[in-house]
Amino acid sequence: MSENLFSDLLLSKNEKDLGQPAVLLENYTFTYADIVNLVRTATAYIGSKENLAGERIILCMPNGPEFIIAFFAITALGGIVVPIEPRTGQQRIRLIIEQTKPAFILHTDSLNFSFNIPAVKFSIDYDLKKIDNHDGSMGIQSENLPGLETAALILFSSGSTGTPKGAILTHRQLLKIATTLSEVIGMDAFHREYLIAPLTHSGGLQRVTSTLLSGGCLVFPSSLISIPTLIDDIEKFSINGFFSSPPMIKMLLKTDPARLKNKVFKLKSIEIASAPLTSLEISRLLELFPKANVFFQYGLTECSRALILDSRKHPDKLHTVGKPTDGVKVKIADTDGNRMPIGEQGEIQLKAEQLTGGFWDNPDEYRSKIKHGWFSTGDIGKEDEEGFISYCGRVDDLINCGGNSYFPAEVEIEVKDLPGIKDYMVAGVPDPQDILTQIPWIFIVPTNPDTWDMLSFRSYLHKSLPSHMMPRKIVIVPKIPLTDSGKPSRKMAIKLYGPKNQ
Amino acid sequence: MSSMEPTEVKKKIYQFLEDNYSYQASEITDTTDLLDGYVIDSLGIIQIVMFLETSFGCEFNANDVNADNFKNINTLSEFVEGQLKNGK
Repeated sequence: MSENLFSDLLLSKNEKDLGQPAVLLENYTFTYADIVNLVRTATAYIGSKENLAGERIILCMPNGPEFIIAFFAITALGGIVVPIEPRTGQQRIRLIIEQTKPAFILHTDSLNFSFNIPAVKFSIDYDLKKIDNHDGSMGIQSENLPGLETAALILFSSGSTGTPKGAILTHRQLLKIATTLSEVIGMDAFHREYLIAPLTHSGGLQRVTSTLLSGGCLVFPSSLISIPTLIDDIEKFSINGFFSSPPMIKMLLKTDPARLKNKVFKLKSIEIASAPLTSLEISRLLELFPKANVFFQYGLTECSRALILDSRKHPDKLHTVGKPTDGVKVKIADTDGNRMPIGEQGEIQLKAEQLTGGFWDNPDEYRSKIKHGWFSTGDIGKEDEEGFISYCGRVDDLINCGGNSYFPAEVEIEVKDLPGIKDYMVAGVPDPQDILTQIPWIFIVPTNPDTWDMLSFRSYLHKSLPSHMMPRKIVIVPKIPLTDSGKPSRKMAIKLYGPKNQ
Repeated sequence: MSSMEPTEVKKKIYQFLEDNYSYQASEITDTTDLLDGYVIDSLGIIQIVMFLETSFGCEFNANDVNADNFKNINTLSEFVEGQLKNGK
């Protein structure tokens, strides 16, 4: 049998393991055997459309068993999954479709967009454990499964020009990350993973692969995700671990510790990503969950879990993002690619087995990211004498809003052709509530400030943008400030018109 | 917005949507679908639960944070007002 995601994470289980729970949700349990059976039938359902080897299929669905089954079915057929969150902005979806030219979109709910490609509804009857509108016939045979070097996933991240770039990841790379996570977190067959992060991102998706690799069980929330849901579900489902972005953690820290008492003692690990917490916040988190290890991961869409900090093991390193994981090399480099001395800031550059080998249909963009053989992250960092890396900021204008990172150009692209606007600029400002890290503001120079309709503009943006990209403030300004060299300056705009001046 | 005088809970919810999502009262009504209408995202649900608990001293449990209670401003405010009446 060839090595690939379906074989290594599901088919390889022995008879005893196949009877173990793999996916739990309120009132329903799917064993590993159920999941294998559903993936096999899903390959017949999805694969009946056409030969999918090398084809891109957009997976546009919320978290749920459907996402997991569809992901394994598409990749087992040699297809490439392109996950898109249902709330993704229209322009972003259009650009992703233009780049990937998908065979079809697989979805569970009605889509809130319409493009000229087929849409296929995919749903599961939880009681009968079968694919809806399918006769139950099995699809792919084990001997036809793809190999390790086959592309399995294209994850899109923001591009500095507003055009998203799709990092291609192979079966080998996804399995490598799963192995790393499983080992670092210490997952085993008793692991119960609570899935609250979106599976459309590597943060959530790789928790699925690592849990299944370990023979553990995935648990979906019993209701809409909230702090009360998290606390109650940890107790109800005997949850051992979860992955979260910092905003959820920051809100958890504001919760009365009495509400957690006696409910979270089985929790063994929390993994946190995307934005830094303060040392004080981490210390409070360790107190709140006295039996849990708290891991911080530094990674990119292009290279997930590059660095991990075990904060309980290294209480003196809480200001860092940890050390490189197995097989990852890090260089703190100056602009010429020279390694910086210990303690001095430079760009964080990476070499890693799990690093993407390219961007879909965009080789020039990928080439521009490779500097002297190292992948350029755009993040500034420094290394200490023990090899721990500290994150110090960005070299560019990337906005991090609630764990979602994007360039201002991705919002600006929605505005550029609107009438009545002479000039515009989007910038990230610190979140005054200290929950989301940054929030986007937009500075607008209307053609005629007296007649410009801000309400219509705001309504248009609400319809066009996902909420993390929605400017929290629309500021009318006389002009967009320029640098000495004549380039628009976000820093100057924030200084002139930002929060301190409102 | 409804022609009736909005309750204190409703006023707070509108305030939350304006402060956190830049919505003006004229853009949404008491019956605008908060979830299917993509008015708030998953992070917004986490935030609004915490906001309402802090503002009114009530306490949600997992079963309360469901799609029926969070369907729109009417259903959400009715739920919170019910909690307050019951002293929860």
